[in-house]
Amino acid sequence: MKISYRKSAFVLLFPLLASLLAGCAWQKTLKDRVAVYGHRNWIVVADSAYPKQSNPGIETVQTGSSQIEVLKAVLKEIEGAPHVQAVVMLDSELDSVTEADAPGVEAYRAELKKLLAHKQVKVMQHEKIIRELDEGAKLFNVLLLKSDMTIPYTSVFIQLDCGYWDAEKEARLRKALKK
Amino acid sequence: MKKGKTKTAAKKPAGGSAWKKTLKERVPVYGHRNWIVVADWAYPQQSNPGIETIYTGGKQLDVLKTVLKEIEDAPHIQAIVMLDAELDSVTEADAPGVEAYRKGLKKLLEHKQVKVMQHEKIIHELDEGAKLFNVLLLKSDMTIPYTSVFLQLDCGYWNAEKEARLRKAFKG
Repeated sequence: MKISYRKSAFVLLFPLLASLLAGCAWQKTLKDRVAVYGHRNWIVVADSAYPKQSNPGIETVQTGSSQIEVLKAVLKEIEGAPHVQAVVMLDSELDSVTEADAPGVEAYRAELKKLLAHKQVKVMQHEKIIRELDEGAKLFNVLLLKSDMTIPYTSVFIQLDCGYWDAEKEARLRKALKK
Repeated sequence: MKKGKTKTAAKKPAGGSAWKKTLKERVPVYGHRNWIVVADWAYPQQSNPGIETIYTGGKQLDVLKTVLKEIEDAPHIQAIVMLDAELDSVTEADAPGVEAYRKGLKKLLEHKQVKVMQHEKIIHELDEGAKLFNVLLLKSDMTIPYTSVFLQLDCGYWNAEKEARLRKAFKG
């Protein structure tokens, strides 16, 4: 009787434990990658139907967490890293997805807007972003974190840039080099 | 380089000393045409599986010192040092600490064979090399651009003059 009770407890707790461990795993991967990533690497927070790409430079991880939760964790990690900053890219299609076709999209858009306030955001057609990502992944690694999101065109593409150098400084440097 | 504000806040993840063990293991198996790069922190991780990227958490000059010593102690290889030509034009105003770095680097590379090339050209050479030969890329906590030091390994017991004599004898 006692054994059966233990067994039932194990059966009940195992999925919870597994999901907790999975949660820790993607966060650890994210931490590890941010330290070695630099400008031209990408981190993507993708909806659940995003395909696993065959390019070995693209590492796809199933997080099992909500889209906003994963995005928040990614942005926090990048903000805390002195060597990189995020250039955020969103699908331009997202604005045209209706609540009737994809319940929850309005709430998502509102949350996303709040989360990305004061961030450098580019909006581009989905196919164009994918093409840029594919081009980048030929040379530089990409971490793709899949969330449990079931609304299309909600993926957030983050292209990393140097955290301690910018376009103005680069322009000054190039000018000085020409002299 | 995209337009954006540069950061000042710093949170440094632990790098540990595992990279020293990795370096010690790679040097005996590396030979001429392999590369060891000591890179600043924002250097990207490249998807080419021949390029092994490690975040050391150490200071750029400390990591470089360790790498140079490891190469110097190895009888089978020597280092051809390559530096970004851009480094000389980075100003102290845009990148505080660059002057001290340049000074420290100059001292460290005294009596070494140093080539200076445009960053993109070095990257191109590295990419080409990595298609066939392994590269160990050690990232430091350096937050000044164009400070990476690229070490192309060469044979430690043969040189261009000896090779020229050999080729001449071959023809004769």
